[in-house]
Amino acid sequence: MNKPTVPSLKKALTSNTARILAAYFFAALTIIAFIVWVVVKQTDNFSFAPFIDYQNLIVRGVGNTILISLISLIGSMVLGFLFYLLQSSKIKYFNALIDIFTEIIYGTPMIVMIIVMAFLIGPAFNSLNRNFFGVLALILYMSPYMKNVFKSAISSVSEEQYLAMDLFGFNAYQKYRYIIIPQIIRVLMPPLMNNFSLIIKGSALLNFISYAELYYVINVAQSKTFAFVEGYILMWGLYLLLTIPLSQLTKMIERKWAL
Amino acid sequence: MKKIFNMSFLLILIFILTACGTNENEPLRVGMDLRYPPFETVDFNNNPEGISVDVAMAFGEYLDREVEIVNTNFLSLIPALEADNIDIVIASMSITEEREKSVDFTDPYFYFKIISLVNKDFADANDLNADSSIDDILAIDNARYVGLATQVSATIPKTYDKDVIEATDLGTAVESVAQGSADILLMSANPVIDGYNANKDDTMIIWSAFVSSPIGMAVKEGNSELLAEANAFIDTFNDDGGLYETLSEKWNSTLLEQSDQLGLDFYTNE
Repeated sequence: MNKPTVPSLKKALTSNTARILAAYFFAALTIIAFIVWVVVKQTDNFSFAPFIDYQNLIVRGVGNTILISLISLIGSMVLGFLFYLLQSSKIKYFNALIDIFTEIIYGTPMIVMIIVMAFLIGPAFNSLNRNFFGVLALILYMSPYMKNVFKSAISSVSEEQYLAMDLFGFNAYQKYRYIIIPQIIRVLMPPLMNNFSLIIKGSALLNFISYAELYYVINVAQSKTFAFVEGYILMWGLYLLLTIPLSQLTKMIERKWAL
Repeated sequence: MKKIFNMSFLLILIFILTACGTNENEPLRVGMDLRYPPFETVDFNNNPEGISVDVAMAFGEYLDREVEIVNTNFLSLIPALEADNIDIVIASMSITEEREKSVDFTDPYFYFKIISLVNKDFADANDLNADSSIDDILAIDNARYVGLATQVSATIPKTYDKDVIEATDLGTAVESVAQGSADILLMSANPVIDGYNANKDDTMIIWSAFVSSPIGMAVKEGNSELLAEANAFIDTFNDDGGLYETLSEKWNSTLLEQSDQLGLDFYTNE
C-alpha cells in the first residue's frame, strides 16, 4: 500500500469516521432489534407500567448499587495497594500470604465468597451484620485484582528511575509521592475502571443476602407484579446505564492519557 | 519495613473492630424472605409487610419484646438460624423431616395446600383440566417438573421419583412453565395463582392439593424456651379475637382479590 498524501489522508479519515459511525449505528440497531424480537416473543403486552409503583424502591436499589460499588472500589483499592506492598516486601511470609490468598480468590466464585463471609466468617467474629460482610467480601474479592493493577502500573516505572531515586537518596515516601504515583496514574486508570465495572456487576450477587441493591429490588417488584420479562429487561437496562458510561469514560481516559 | 508493620496493624484493627457487638436487650430477630406476597413482602418503600410480618409483630407483642424483621433469602434461613443471625423463622416454612434434623419446629399454624401450575399445551396434550386429580398428574411419565431449590416445591415430586429441575427464584420457575421448558410447578396457592394471572394464555391451575403442607415457626435446635413460648402463642390463634380473626379481617380482601376461592381459612384449615 502506498502511503497516502496528506489531503487524501484527511479525506480518507472523514469518510472513515462516517463509515465507522454508520457501522456502530447499524450494529446497535441489530442488537436492539434482536432484543425487541425476544421481548415480543416472550410477552403479549410488554409494559414497564407495573413497575411505576415501585419507582421509590428501584431508585433506592440503584442508589445502593452505586453506593456499595463505590465503597468496594475504594476499599479494594486500599487493600489492593496494601497487598501490593506486602507482596513486594522483603519478608517472605508476607509474600507467601498474599500469593496464597490471591490463588484462593482466583479460584473462588464471587457468590461463594459472599455467602462464606456473611454466614460463616461474619458470625465467627460475633458480627451479624450481613450487609457489612457482604460488602467486605466484594472488597476482599477484588483486592488481588487491584493488586495486579498496581503491580503492572508500578512496574511501568523503569529500573533506571529507581536507581536515580536511590542515587538522590529519596526515602520510600518521597519515591511514591513525587516520582512513582504521578507517573502511574495514567497507566492505572483504564484497568481500574474495568475493575469498577466488574464490581458493579458483581454487586448483583448481594441479592443472595437480601441486600436491597438493584437486582434484589427488581426481584421484589417482580414478586408482586409478576411481570418477569419486563423486570429482567428493566434490570438489564439499568445495569447498562451504570456500566456503559463508565466504559466510555475509560476509553476517553485511555485516548487522552495514552503515552 | 515500619510501613508494612503499620499497615498490617491497621488490617488487624479493622478485623477486631468488626468483631465488636453486644447481645444485651436485643429485639426478637425474625427471619423471613420478603419476596413471597402476600405473606412476606414489602410496601412501595421497602418496609416489610404481609401476613407473616403481622404474625411476627403479634408474637413480639405477646412476648413484650421489640421485633426486628431480618430479610433473609429463603435458602439461607436455616443457616442464618444456626449462625444465630436470627432467633426465629416465621416465613411460611413447611415442616419437613429434612428440616427437622437441623431446627426445631413449633406446632403448625397454617396449612399450605400445594397445587400445580401447569403449562397449557402440556395440559391439553395430556387431557388435564382444572379438576384433574393428583393421580392424573402423576400418571404422566415424562412430565418435566420445576421446583424451587430446598422448598417443598422441589422435594414433593422427588418423593414420587420424578425428576425436578431446580430453580433458585420463583420468577424463573414460573417463566419456564409459561414458556414450556418445564411442564409443572408445584407451589403453594399464592404464587401459583399469581403466576397464572401473569400468564393466562400459557398456563393453567390444577386445584387438587398434592399435600396440605403444615407451616411452622422454626427455632435453633435446642432453643426450647423460645419454642415453648411460640407454641403457647400459637395456641391463642383460635381464641375469640385471636390472631386468626385479626388476620382474616385485615387480609381477606387482599386474598380474595387474588382469587375468589381463597380467604384466610384456606390457609388455617388443614
